[in-house]
Amino acid sequence: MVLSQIWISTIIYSALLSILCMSFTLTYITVKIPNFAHSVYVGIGIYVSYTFAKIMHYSPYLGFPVSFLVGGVISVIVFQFVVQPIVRMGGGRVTLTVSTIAVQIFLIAFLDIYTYWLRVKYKQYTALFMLKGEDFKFGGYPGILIVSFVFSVTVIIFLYRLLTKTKLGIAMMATAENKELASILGINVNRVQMVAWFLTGGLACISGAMLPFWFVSTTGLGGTMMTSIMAGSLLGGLNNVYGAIIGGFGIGITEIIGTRFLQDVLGVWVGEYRSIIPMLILVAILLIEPRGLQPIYDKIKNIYEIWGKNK
Amino acid sequence: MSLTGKNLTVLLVIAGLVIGLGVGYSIAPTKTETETIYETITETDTIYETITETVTVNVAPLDGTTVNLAVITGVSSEMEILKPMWEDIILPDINEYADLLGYDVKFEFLLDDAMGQPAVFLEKVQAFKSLGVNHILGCYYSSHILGARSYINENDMIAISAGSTSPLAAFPDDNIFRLVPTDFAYGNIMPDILSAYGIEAVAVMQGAEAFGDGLWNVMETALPLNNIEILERIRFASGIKEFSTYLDLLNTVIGDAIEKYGAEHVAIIQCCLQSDGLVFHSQVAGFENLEKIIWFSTHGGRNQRMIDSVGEAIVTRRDFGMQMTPAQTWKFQEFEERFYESVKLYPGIDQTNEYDGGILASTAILETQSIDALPSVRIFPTLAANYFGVSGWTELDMNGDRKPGTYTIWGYAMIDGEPGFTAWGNYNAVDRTLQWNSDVFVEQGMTPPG
Repeated sequence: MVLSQIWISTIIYSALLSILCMSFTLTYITVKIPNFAHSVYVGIGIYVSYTFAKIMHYSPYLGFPVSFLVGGVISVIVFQFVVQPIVRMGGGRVTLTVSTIAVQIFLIAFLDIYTYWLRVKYKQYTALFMLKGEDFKFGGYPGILIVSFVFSVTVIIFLYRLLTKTKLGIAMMATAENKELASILGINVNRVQMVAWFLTGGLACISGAMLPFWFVSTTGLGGTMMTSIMAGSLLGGLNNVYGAIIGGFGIGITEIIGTRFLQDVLGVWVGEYRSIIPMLILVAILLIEPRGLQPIYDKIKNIYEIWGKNK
Repeated sequence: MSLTGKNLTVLLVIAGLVIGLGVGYSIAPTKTETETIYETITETDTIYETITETVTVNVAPLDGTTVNLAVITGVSSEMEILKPMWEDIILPDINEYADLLGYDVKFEFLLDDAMGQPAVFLEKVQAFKSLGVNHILGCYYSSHILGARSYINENDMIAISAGSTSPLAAFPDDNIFRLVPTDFAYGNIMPDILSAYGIEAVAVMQGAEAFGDGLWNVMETALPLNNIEILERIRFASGIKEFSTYLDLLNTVIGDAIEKYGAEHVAIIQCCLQSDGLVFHSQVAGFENLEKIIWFSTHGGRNQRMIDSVGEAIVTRRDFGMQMTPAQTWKFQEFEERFYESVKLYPGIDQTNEYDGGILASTAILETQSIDALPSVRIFPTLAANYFGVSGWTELDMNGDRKPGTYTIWGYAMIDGEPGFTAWGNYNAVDRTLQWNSDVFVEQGMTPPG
């Protein structure tokens, strides 16, 4: 095996985190608020995989399209019935942010009801489960390593093409820039935002659907990752959906490889404080450069443009 | 005569005396005179009369009532086990017993969740008190017990814990009873077993909470006394989902120890909740050195989720765990069957203690015929001392904590070609003797220790 076990864990964790960061950033770009209900989509994805594997006895990989659809639909419902009404009533960012917390509480309760119903109906445990046994192996590596990494790269390529090469994507970016102006230009702002939210929920759900292949899963697993998701999004730049992949991998690698390095240098006790690392990065970014890596992208873009002109 | 100061004073005194005499005479109690009269009566009359009077005596004050028992879980994931266990096993048994006694009493349980927070646990206790419920069961975490202890004592409630083990919560003469021995017991027993198995070096992984710290505090001394070297102590934040940093570090440490002592003499002890142990084992695959050694665990050896999630790999690691469950008794075996049918998982020590706690609490209520906690508090130690439950004898010490008894050593094994678990031995904490099941070792292709 070329990759050591710790690097396998790091890549899987980072890939899944980067997908979550991308979808989180996409929500932020659309409505300019952090969506705290994001973690629940992860839980929904987890239990779509559970349903496929443990109840229907199919491969959980077959459940990925279903996860995407379910997550997308729920996200659109939240947008239509929570976000839009609040925006229409003149609710500001604070109100919208708090409303996402309420949505999170509401959705997690529904998820708990669903898992309890599964428990009673099928007499199977629904908490603390894994689907590692349902995974395939490729060249001695777990299938989820390849799937998660390839998927995260595919998503970024897809989003790049969508947002820069298609009418819909350009409309989405225009709406995110200036909703009123976009509307004047004839863009159906409501439909465009709905598509963005659909993508957000769908991507978060798929990421959740992959988690049980590597992590012991419960309804609250997404919540435990929320700080890392926000840190990754901030690091990548909250207005830059492509930066989220760098942010996600950055946080994931720092959390695991960085902690391991510090354990060698400072002692094993450092591991206990691993969960503080994303918080420290969050604080550092907010204090030093709230736009995250955006200034670096801008510099690289400028250099590229200058080089292109000189050519 | 002029009314000078002196003259006036004298006049006033005389006037006062006269007035006072008059007043005193008029309010003085009248004298009573008593006269003793003797009279002899010689006339006799015999009167026969039958008096019938109906007297109502309340022999069973609880008749016709519904008695509520409160059950508070430590974390939400426990609810999916506790709810069916109470509904399908504990409550029917309690109500059946009440019927047998002829009491018209119905027991119900009210389930709630402390969500892992001592403050939330206290809130739940207060809420139950406001509902008139004084008997609290569950109470798995020592931190929860400690946070609510004053309230429970001051408000005449009783708490029966199925899982708290911290010595910090060991107080005599309070209203809290714990059906698990404290960490002092386990922390000394585990090194005994390791030593008997032939282990010479261990790495200790413990959760960063009262349970893990409590065990470490005891084992830190007990392990060297058993000539076992402590290679590394890892204290991890409980509830995290990704352990590769620890596993990578351990892989290096264990690798060095294997070179020095040999794989059969090196082990890892996990002092953590079953859920954390599950996460660890699910991520061990690929760390070569960790796959070569035996693992021991406080909650190990019989976890269906472990078998489902980790598969055959857990059989190699064995994950020996000690539980004070007398595996050979019909009572335990019957409970295990019923539990599996209801929950589709195998019961651990928390569940067997929960069952015994429920039976004891309801028996206390039935015998005292009171839903108040204080009569139950008075009677509980005696009841517990005379009760043999699914977890064995439930005798308590002076602090109201379980006395250590017989432990079964569970571990994973191939059973009929499939990963399963079996009892590998028994440890008697009273005389500190250990008996390995040699047959099991031979069946698994291993040499029995010693």
